[in-house]
Amino acid sequence: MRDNPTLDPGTLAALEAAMEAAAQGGNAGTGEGAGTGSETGAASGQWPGDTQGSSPGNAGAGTGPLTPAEQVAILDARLEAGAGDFDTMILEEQARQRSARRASSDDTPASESAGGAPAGGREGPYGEDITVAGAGGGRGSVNTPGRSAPANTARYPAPDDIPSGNDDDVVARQLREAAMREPDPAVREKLWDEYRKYKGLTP
Amino acid sequence: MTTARLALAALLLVTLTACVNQTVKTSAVPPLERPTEVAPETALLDVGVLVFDPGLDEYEEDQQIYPEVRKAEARFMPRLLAEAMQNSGAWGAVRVIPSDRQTVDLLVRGRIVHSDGETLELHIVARDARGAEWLDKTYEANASKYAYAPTTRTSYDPFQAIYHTIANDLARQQESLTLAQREDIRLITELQFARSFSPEAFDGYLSENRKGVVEVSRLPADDDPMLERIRSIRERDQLFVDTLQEHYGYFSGEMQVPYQEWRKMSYEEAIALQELQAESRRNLIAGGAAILAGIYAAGSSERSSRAAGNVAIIGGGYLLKSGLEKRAEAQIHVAALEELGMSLEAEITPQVIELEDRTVMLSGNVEEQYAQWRELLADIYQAEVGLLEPLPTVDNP
Repeated sequence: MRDNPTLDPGTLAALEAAMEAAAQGGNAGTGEGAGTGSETGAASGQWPGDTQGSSPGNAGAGTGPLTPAEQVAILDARLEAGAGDFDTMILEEQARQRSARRASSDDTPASESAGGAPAGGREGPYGEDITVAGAGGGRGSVNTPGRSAPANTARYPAPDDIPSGNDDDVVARQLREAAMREPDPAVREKLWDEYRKYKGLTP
Repeated sequence: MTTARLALAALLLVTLTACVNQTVKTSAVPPLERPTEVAPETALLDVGVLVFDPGLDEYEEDQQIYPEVRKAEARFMPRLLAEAMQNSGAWGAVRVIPSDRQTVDLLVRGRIVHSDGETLELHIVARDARGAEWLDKTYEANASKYAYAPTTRTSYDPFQAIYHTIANDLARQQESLTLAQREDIRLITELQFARSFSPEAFDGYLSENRKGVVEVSRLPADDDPMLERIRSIRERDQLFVDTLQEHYGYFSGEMQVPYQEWRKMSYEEAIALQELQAESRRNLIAGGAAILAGIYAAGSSERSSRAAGNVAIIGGGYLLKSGLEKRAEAQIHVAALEELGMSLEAEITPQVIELEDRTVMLSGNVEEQYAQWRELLADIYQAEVGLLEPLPTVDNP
């Protein structure tokens, strides 16, 4: 009953090609090939299935028409960039929550915290672990077992010579994320080479 | 004759499956029922408890309902239910969700029919991703005076029994499903999520049977790149919902103390009010009856009867007076209840507004990102189709 995959052969190679194209676009100074999270929607709107080299990814590279696999790889890179922005947004929200919680706990009078509801989890009267709703405030993670961040963000650590990446631009970040997700060691090393080349790091 | 029997059987079936009511004793909190067998992770259903309907549609001014308090309860109570379900260990992740646009294996909806310190009545409806109904039931519980004892109050909610009962009903429903059925529900949820992001790619995988139940028509390949993208997005969606839990948790924490205090005091006021109203009613009836009897006896020819009649009239007068006084006293409790409700409303309204603002803002940003991803996925699908289309022309020059 399962469908056969339609885009398996060459996907990985296409990703590499697209990454190179994107990197060249970035080097050319246009930055359009990579796009950013905020540009993603607008950029994708400018490209309704165009295959004749007028897509932003191609314009930056100044090469010939992209193959469909390359188009997919570039779109995938944009999807990844959007995912990065999404993760940043969620992390910022969580940081806001933490500071609000801290502020709230600082404001809580000592008498209230002493005589109020118990804070956090405890053994319930029926042998189960009960966490009183909201006791102590902001302990919503009781309902969120083992989910802190998407699992596919970084599976393979960066080599020792790779710096922290705090100053990565969008292209570098995509290369870094692609490399850290790549299960094939040979392809992963190629992606790190691309990263080094792009960042001007001497191997 | 056969038709009549069938009609009767159908009527009986409709009556049995229609919305039912259950009264829950709050003094005896039922223990959470745990699964008899440990289910594999692939068969653990994720549950979304939708923010409750505050039940303000038929709200009338003379009812002692405080809309902002109800709105706060509509966000507070689902969390208690979600916690009860999570604590049972029978489910995957159980989360409070702000809208039914979230795709979950089991969606639980609730409506607050009645809520004060004394009585809680909830109407709960639960459906799984297939569209099959698990529950359509009204639960009612009356708090006992022990529910507000300081030791009990810090242990669990005065109406904890209602949440445990609902959690147990749902767990029993789940137990009646086979592992294959549960895995099927999870698969349908994933495909529904995929379809909501890329209808072009995933439209043909699900279908509805004649009973309106969703079924899997065919399966995507395990390594389908589009499905991989969807799974990555789904992880982010779950992260978003998890982040929302922090907001609901923080809100519940802020609301907990004033709300439970209001419940306790309104319970005491409501009980005092009921006692005074009952006493007032008794005195007024007894006083009226005594006066009538006294008037009747006063007309008697016997002196002793006339004297007794006068005493009855005087006694009845006192009872009437007492009854009226009790009624006036009861009005003080009505006013006190009103005052308590308005006071709580003033205290928690800013928190409700803040929660709503934060939820709406975060949901808005997330939806904006989702819209961009939908466009990108549509483009990717077109590009993939573009990759496949030229192939036949090679064979047919």
